[in-house]
Amino acid sequence: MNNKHVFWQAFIVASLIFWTGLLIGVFFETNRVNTLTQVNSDFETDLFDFDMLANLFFDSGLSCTETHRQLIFFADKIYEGALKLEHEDSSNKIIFDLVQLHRRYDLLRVRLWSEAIKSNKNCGKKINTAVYFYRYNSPSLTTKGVQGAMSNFLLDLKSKYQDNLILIPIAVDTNLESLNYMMRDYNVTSSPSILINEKYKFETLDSLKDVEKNIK
Amino acid sequence: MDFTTFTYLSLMFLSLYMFVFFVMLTILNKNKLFEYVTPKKDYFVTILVPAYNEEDSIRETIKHVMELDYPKDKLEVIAINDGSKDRTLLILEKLKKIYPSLKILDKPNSGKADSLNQGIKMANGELIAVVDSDSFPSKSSLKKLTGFFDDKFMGAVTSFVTVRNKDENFFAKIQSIEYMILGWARKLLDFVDSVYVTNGPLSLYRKKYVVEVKCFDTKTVTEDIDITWNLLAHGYKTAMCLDARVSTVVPSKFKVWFRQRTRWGLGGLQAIVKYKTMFFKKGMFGIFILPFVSLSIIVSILAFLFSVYLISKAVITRTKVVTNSLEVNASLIHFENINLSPSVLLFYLAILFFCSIIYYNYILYKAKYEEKLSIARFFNMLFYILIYLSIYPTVWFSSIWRFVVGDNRW
Repeated sequence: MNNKHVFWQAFIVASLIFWTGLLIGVFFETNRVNTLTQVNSDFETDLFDFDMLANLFFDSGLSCTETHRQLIFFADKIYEGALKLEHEDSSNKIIFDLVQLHRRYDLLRVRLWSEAIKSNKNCGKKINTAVYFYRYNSPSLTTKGVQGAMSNFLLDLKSKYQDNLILIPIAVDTNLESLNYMMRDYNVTSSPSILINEKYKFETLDSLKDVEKNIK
Repeated sequence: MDFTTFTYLSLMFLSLYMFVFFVMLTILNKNKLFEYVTPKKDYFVTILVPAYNEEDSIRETIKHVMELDYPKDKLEVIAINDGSKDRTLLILEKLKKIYPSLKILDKPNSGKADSLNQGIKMANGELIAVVDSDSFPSKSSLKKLTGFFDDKFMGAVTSFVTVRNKDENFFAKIQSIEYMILGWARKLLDFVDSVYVTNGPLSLYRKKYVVEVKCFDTKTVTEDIDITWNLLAHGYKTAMCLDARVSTVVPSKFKVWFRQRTRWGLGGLQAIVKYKTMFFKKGMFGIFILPFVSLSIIVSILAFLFSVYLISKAVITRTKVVTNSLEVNASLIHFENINLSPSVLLFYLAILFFCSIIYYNYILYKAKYEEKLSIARFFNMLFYILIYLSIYPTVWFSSIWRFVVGDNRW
C-alpha cells in the first residue's frame, strides 16, 4: 500500500483545521462577551450616575419629569443590552457559559426596578412598570412556548405605550438574593409571570387580556 | 460546553477527517486515478450474465458483452436464465443464433447468488466476470480490468458504474451524481487497499479464489458485498479501475429506489454480523474496512437523529410560541428578537459544506459526468448534498427493521 500514512496524516491535518477553527471561534466569542461585559459595566456606571442625579433632584425638589426621562432612557438601554446578551447566549457555543454575565444584567435590572419604584414613590405615580419574571435555565418546551408568547405580548405593549412603560424582564433562577427578596415582597411565586405597577400579577396566558386595564 | 455542542463538534470532526482523508488521497494520487495495468497475458475469462425477467434489457446486455474488445478465443459467455417468467429465455435462444458461442444455462429460480454459483461450475475461465443483465460494459472495460490480476493475490476487481437513464427524471439524475461520487470514493479507497464492494454491473474475480471461499453466499441479499468481504477476509486483494466503465439503469421511482437501498443496507448489516469476528484483525479488512463501514452507518444514523432532534425541538417551540402568541393577540415576530450574530458553529458547517461542493464538482468534472459546468448541475449537486444525503439515513432504519425481523426478500 502506497498511502498507508494518509490515515494519520489526514488526522493531523483535520486536527489542525479543527483546532484552528475552534481557536478562532473562541476568539470571536471572547470578543463578543468582552463587549457585553464592557457594556454592562457602562450601564452600571450610568445607573449609579442616575441614582446620584435622582437624589440631587429629590433633595433640591427639582423636576420628576427629568428623572423619569432618564429612567426610561436607561431602562431602554439596559433592555437592549440584555437582548444582545440573550442573542449572544444562544450564539456562544464553545466555551462561554454566560450565567455570570446574565446575573450581572439581572442585578442591573433589579436595581432599575427598585429605582423605578423609588422614583414613582418620590414623584407620585407616573411611570408604569411591567416586570416580566421568566426562567433562564432549561425551561420545558411548554414553558418556552408560554415565555415566547409573553415576551411578544410585552414587546407589543412596550411599542404601544412607549415612554409610559418600563419593561423589565428578569430571570428568576440566577440566584439573586435581592430579586428573591423583592419577589417575596410583591408575592411573586411563579414564573413565567408579569407584575404590573407592583400590584397586578398575571401568571397565565388567559389572564393577559386584563393587563392593559391596569396600565395608566 | 453542553451535550448538543459536544455532539455537534464530534460529528463535525469525523466529517472533517473523512473529507481531508479523501482530499489527501485525491491529491496524492491525482496522476494514478485513471490508471490501469496492461495485462502480461490474455486471461481466459468467463462472463456470467444472470437474468431474471430481463426481457427489456437482456438483448442489449448480451450484445455489449459479445462485442467487448477482448480476444474471442479467450472469452466465454454464459447467460443464466434464473427461471424467468417473461420472454428472457426466448430472447436468449434467439441471441444464440446470432452469437453461437453464447452458452445458456436455464434453471429454476433460485436467486442471483445460486445462479452465479451454478455458472461458476460450468465456467472454464481463469477469471470470472459478473455482468448484471441490465448493465452494458464499455468495449475496453474487460481488458482494463484483467491487468490487475497480474498480481497473484488479486481476488476481485471492480469497475466504474455510470447511470444510463440519468435523463429519465430528476431522481435518476441525482442518483447519477451519487454513483459518480461513490465510484470516485471507491477508487480512492483502492489506494489504501480498501475496496469493499465489487459491484454487480461489472466485476471480475479470480475463479480459484472464489471457489476457495465457497463461492457466492446464497443466504445474503447482497452477494457482491459478501464475496468481496469473504475474499478480503481470506487475505486476497481487491481493486477498482476508474477507467473501466459500465452503464446501468437506476430506479426512477422512489418506492423502487427505497426497496433497492434497503436491500443494500440489509446486505451491509448481514455482512457486518457475519464477519464480526474479524474486527481489528486481518490487515486492512479488520483494521479499517469493518470499522469504517460500521462507523459510517452509526454516524449516519446518529447525525440524522441528532438533526431530527434539533429541528423538532425548534419547530415544536416555535409552534408553541406562535399558537400562544395568537391566543393572546400578540405579534408573531419582533425585529428585536431576530438574532443577527449566528453561532460560529454554523460557520464551520457552512465552510465544510462549501468545500464539499467544490470537491464534488471537481469529482464530477474529472469523472466526466457532463462535459460542461452548468447551473443545473450545480443545483443538482446542491440537492444531492442538502436533501438526498440528509434523508438517506431513513433507509438504514428500514434496513435495520428488515434485519431484525429477518426479511430477506430481494
